[in-house]
Amino acid sequence: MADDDIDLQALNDEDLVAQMHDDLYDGLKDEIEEGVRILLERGWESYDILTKALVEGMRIVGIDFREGILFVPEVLMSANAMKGGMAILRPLLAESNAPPMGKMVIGTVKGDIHDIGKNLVAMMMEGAGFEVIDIGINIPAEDYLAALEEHQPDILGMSALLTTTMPYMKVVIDTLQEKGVRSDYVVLVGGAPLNEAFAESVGADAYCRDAATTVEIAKEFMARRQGSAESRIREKVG
Amino acid sequence: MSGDQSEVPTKSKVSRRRRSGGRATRREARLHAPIIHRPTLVREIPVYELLDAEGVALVHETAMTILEEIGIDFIDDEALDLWKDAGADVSGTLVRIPRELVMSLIEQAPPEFTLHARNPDRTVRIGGRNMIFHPNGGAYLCDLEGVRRRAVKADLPTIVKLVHCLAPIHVTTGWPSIDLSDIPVPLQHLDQIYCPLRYSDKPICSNLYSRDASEDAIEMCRIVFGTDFVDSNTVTTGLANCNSPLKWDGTMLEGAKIFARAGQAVIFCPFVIYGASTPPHQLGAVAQVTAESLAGVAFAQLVRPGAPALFANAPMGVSMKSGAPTLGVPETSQLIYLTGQMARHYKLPWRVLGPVSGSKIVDYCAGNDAALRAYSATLSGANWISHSCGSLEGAMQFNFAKMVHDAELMEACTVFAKGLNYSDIDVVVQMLRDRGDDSHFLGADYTRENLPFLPELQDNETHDTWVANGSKDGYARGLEAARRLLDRYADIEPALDPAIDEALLAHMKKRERELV
Ligand code: B1M
Repeated sequence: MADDDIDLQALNDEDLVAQMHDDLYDGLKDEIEEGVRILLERGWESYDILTKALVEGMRIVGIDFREGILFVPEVLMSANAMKGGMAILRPLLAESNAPPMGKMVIGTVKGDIHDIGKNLVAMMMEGAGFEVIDIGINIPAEDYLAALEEHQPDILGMSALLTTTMPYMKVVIDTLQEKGVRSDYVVLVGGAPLNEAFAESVGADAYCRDAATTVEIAKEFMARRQGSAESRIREKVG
Repeated sequence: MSGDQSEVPTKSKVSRRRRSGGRATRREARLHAPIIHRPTLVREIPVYELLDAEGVALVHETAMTILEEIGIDFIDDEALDLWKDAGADVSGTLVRIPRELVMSLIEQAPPEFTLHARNPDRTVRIGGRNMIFHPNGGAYLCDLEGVRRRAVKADLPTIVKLVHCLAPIHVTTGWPSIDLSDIPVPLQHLDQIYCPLRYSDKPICSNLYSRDASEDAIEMCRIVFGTDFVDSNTVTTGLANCNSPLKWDGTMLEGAKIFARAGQAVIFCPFVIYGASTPPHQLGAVAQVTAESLAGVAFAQLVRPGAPALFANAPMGVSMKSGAPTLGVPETSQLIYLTGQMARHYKLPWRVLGPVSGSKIVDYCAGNDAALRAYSATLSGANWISHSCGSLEGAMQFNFAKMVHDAELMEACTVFAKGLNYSDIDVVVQMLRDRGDDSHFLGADYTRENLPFLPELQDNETHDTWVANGSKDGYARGLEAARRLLDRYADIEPALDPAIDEALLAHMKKRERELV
């Protein structure tokens, strides 16, 4: 039942986390920020708040979005609430040795100004806890490279809506290759005219057919990256 | 099928029965009916208007507020200088245009103009009560074998030939019909201009998507029409899409300037997704579109006073479940009607996006979207209906079978827009008096001479007849019809003076060397 007057402080941890899942679902930014602060006061680790309260809540939002129960404006509200919580947690997470959620630089390629889809992807990724640096539209290779250099993300996202501009993705990927930094990033590409075969042919890591799929794929790659980072550490230590 | 119908029926009194030449003549006439290209459709029906006078005033007032107070971005230095010199308030790239300025500029745009074809019989009139149909395309082609794939150079002549054979479609196109994946991007526009000029004699549309493409379009038109003619007449039209909300992008403005300067027409079109790139409010969305399109039309007048320019709107909806564009939804029809009213308010010729569908295949969704949009566009009095044949996947796919289906739909719209027959009532009364024991009028002379519209791609026969004919669905019938029509192209291929053809090819060769 909807109830505006819930006193979050009065809830025990379990109920509070369940309530935060509902508040994320309802896109209530202030309430999520309050919930995060309460859990911090109660001595929760920032990583636990992130995963158990926020990411889990957004996972539920994601399921209902894919099933067509939640609509885009509602999901964007949820994502915004998530961002509110993340803003509090991010500095704390950085200090801890918690595995990062992931960072993405995203932009629409040179010659192309379509950005509605890219913006949707950026917001959904933020909603899933990723840090997103949206560098805009009409982006030449050198600007992508500069942004990668500056922000050191895990993921490079590129969007193109024109068949005449999508080949430019290869130009960017080839440039990464030339500079010897291709394997430092997961490259995800999307946009209505693309497909799996195209993504493969330009040397991207994956093709993302929509925003919800992008989040899933990005999470998978982050898990793999963390897995391989851990095994690298283990190799070194051992 | 639409292309085979000899003439849009004109109603007449019954004439005396004569020898017609018997079977041979009739078979020839029915099986090989000449493809008669439709002249400009002159609308004889009233338009459907949703706004009362107060509504029009509200949209106008809101559009003026947007232009004067919020402003529009023009991402082009020369454009900003032009606006500054004209008296607009320019800060950074934001241009705020006083209403007196915008109104005095759009007054210079011709309410009607002629778009010349290389064959004067195909020349069309844009604006007023005139309506014309124009195809567009997308990123993928669904070919004559039913395979969805990227198009290649060899496909474009086939597309243009088919459009040439579609009698109700007035304008042909090389662009943005389809891009050609085996030609380097900087060179694609050359074929996209050449093919429509070479394989059809209908008026053409061309690409203003880059400086090179815009300049080559004008140059190649000069080769075909003669430099003097192009300098004083409109022989091609380009499409500039507004990056809604409230932004005119540099690429589009550069092309628009080249076209306007050369006296060629530009469609200034917000390609809006209602609820995504406009607020979800019908009047508000049209006020935004009005501000955007008027700013474009006015800008063309700054470049060249009197430049032909179209007011436009290409409304789509949005699925709130994913963000995907939707087509046959009620609000897009409302926006189409509202845009028409505003265009008439400003006395500007205008363009709208026609029977596009979000469907991936030729199915119920495709037919539903197409019919809703085609009739809305017709009833709205649109002067230029684009994407009028072949468009699927929200304009991402160009489909041969749907091209022919849509052409039949546009033929139906043609008959509809030609209006009613007010004469012959006396004949009808007489037919009722004379009916005798007949329970029908199928055998009447008047019926024989006034055949109702014949939808040849729809199958309305009994189930068993349909089975006997091969149980074909609409898609199969469409593909067959497309192939049949293409077989007839050779009979009506418009000749192009070999010297002109050579000059076009030489220009292309030269540009290929320069642009690679
Ligand atoms: C990790 O990274 C990732 C991951 C996933 C990613 C991703 C990145 N990017 C996207 N995804 C994926 O997730 C998103 C969310 O689910 C999805 O994003 P989408 O972008 O697919 O979906 C969005 C939510 C909604 N979809 C859209 O926003 C695109 C819709 C259509 C109708 C479209 C629009 C709206 C526009 N357009 Co343009 N436009 C069309 C489009 C036709 C279509 N059906 O797609 C298309 C793409 N346009 C086209 C054209 C030709 C043009 N457009 C142009 C301009 C515009 C507008 C400015 C009017 C507007 C864009 C507004 C904006 N701010 O983005 C011009 C080009 C401008 C330029 N230089 O880029 C112009 C050239 C037209 C002109 N002459 O002015 C066609 C391309 C044809 C081709 N051969 O490729 C087109 C297919 C329509 C058509 N047939 O005319 C997924 O693809």
